[in-house]
Amino acid sequence: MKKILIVDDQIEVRELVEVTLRVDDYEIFQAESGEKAIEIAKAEKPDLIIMDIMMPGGMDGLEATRIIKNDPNTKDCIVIMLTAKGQQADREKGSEAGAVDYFAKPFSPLDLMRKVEEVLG
Amino acid sequence: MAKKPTYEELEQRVRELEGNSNRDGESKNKSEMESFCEATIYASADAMVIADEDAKVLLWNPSAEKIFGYKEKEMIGRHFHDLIIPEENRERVTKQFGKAVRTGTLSHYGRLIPTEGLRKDGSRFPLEHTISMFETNGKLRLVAILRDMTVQERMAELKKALAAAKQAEEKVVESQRELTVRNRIADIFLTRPETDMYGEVLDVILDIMESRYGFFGYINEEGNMVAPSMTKEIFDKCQMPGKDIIFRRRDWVGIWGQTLLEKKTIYANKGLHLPKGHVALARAMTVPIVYQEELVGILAVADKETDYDESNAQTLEAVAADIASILRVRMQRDFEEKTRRETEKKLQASLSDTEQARDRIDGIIKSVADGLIVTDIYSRIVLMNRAAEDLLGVRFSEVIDRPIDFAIKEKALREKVRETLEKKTTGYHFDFELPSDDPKNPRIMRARTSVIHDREGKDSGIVTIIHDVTHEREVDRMKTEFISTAAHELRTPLTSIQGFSEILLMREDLKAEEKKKFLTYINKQSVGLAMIINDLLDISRIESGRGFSLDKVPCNAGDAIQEILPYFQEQYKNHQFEVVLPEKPVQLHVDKEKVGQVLKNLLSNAAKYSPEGALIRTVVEKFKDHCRISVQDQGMGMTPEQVDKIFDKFYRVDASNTAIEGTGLGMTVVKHIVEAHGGEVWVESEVGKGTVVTFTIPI
Repeated sequence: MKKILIVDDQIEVRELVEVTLRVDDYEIFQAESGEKAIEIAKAEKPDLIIMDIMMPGGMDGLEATRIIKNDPNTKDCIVIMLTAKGQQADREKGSEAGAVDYFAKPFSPLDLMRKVEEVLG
Repeated sequence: MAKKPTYEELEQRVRELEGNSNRDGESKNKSEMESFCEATIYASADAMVIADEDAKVLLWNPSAEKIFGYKEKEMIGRHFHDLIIPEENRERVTKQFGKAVRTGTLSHYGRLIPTEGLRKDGSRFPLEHTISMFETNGKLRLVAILRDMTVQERMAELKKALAAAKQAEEKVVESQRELTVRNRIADIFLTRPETDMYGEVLDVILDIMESRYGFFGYINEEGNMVAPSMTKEIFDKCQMPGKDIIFRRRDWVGIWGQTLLEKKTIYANKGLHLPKGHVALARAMTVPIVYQEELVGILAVADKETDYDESNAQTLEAVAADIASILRVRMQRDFEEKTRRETEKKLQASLSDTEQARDRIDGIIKSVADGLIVTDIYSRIVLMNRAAEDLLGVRFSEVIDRPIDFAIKEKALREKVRETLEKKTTGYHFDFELPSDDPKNPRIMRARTSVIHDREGKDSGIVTIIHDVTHEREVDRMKTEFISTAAHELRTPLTSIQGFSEILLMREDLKAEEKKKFLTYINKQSVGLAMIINDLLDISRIESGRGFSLDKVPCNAGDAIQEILPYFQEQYKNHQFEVVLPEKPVQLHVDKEKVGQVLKNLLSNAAKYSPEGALIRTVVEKFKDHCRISVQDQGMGMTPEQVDKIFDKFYRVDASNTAIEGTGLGMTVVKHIVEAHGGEVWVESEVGKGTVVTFTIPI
């Protein structure tokens, strides 16, 4: 069973992703902040992390991604950015930080499902 | 010439004559008369010749010898015709002589006849003679007494010459006198002030013309005759002393009028027609003053003791001729003076206009808030206004006429400016930075250049306007950020709406309470979305200046608040909401929906910027003429700078992470709505402690 970590400060978004991916028999973890995300990533070593960029508090999604990807323990985690920000610059920042793809809000749950299947094989 | 005979010689002569008369057999006894005659004949200064019928000379006196050059011996017995009469007259004289002898009468008996005589040496001379006849012893004798008129003639000629010389001399004296007079007049013209000039010239003219009255007039630029000088008695009752009299062309009458109209000298010594009030004149003379066929004035004199004649006319005409050129010069000079004064006045006026215009432009340039720099075609600074001085940090007086480089201290800018000026394009603009108080936020200036053309369309310089666009940039930046934020804010609720609605549509495995939950999410986010869209619309309306209309209805302040609170309590579960109301209910007359929005915005901010569990208190107070409502929180608070900007459009206190939702427009809308109701809104805040936002609504 693959492990997926969803990181977003808004509970609704986490619920949405959770309910979307529930069918495919993934184990879903939730984190509401960057710090929390790192913690869970280290603990659970998820196969995929869906990371929101804009989160309140000290650390945003980009930084969390960087840390996770630079940490040998967690660097194998695949990260997909999920955010309402849609500029090209943001995409670039995402891939620089280590994300392999970028998902824009609002999104179609079906599309997300397909993407996740694709990434996880 | 023989001497005058002495008495002894006379006696001798008488004896000889006696001897001659003895041969003729005449009596020796002479009467006293005969002696007297003989003596007379002998002594007479005139030539006396006696001839017989055949024109042979019988008597030839010493004067005849003297006059004609022939001696007595030569002449006695000879025909006088051939000898003493000039050739051309001989035939005539011979005829006359013959006639006289035949008829016994002389046509010009006793008359003095001028003729010409012929001398022995062949020369001729003027001769006067008388002829008479007498008979003696039956024989006819002709007597001629002849006088050499040479001397007389010469004397006469001399007298004539003398008279002519005298006349010539008189003429010269006259001319000199005339010249003196003309010099005097010229002198007056050139040296005397205008006020005295005409009077003095007239005095001179009256003097030389020996006239009692007169006037001297000139033609002015309108073609009328002006008489600055007139003898006082002429227009006895009409003359205004000290004032020039102007005679319009249509009033040119009388002898002087005629002179003016015909440009001719006229003089009359009787029969003068004069207008009423004019003093009676016997004689008058008027002379036009003409310069190159143009009438420039008139001289008039009257009442000379004797008649005016041609010579007077000529004298006065000579004076007029002199005066003409001088008058013309003077008139010309006066005209030029007048023109010059008028031109000067016009110049003054246009100078004053120019100065006024320039002052106006100066005023405009000075007051223009943007920096203005004018450079000439060599890129030297011609003009710089105050704003430019402030922006660039130099004084115009320091850099005037220097190349623009001098005024610009920043190298990069200087390069840019020089490049632009070399290109000399109009409408070209570039941005540059100037330092400001905050090193992180320099001022941004936009420089726009424009080529100035002179009247002929040639390039004559460049105007550079420097406009501080820092604020504009800031606003632009905020707008861009706003749009991006707005997009984000819109997308966030849409994520739930789209996502959950799709789930609900597609999935069969959902539990009932899950379905309900998801539908609630959709509904909530829709409402939230609507609010955001409302905000955006309001803002756009405010921006476009249209404002909004108020739909005022009576409304209870407490009730309005109570209506809204549940939503917030639900939304922000972990915050505490409290309401404090006055004893008596407060009735407001307001746009309920809009005031509701104000409350929502304030409560929303309070909640957003407060930590969980914090207290948010809404207080309503009633005053005499207004109602005061304040929303107090214990949130993160704001610095004075942040408070300052709180009402600015798109301003968000915490924009860096934008984790706190908001468009930055909430407070702007609040302010607008409150002020539209005639109220005020203000913020008190302390970092770390909390914030109180208060607004008033007039009652």
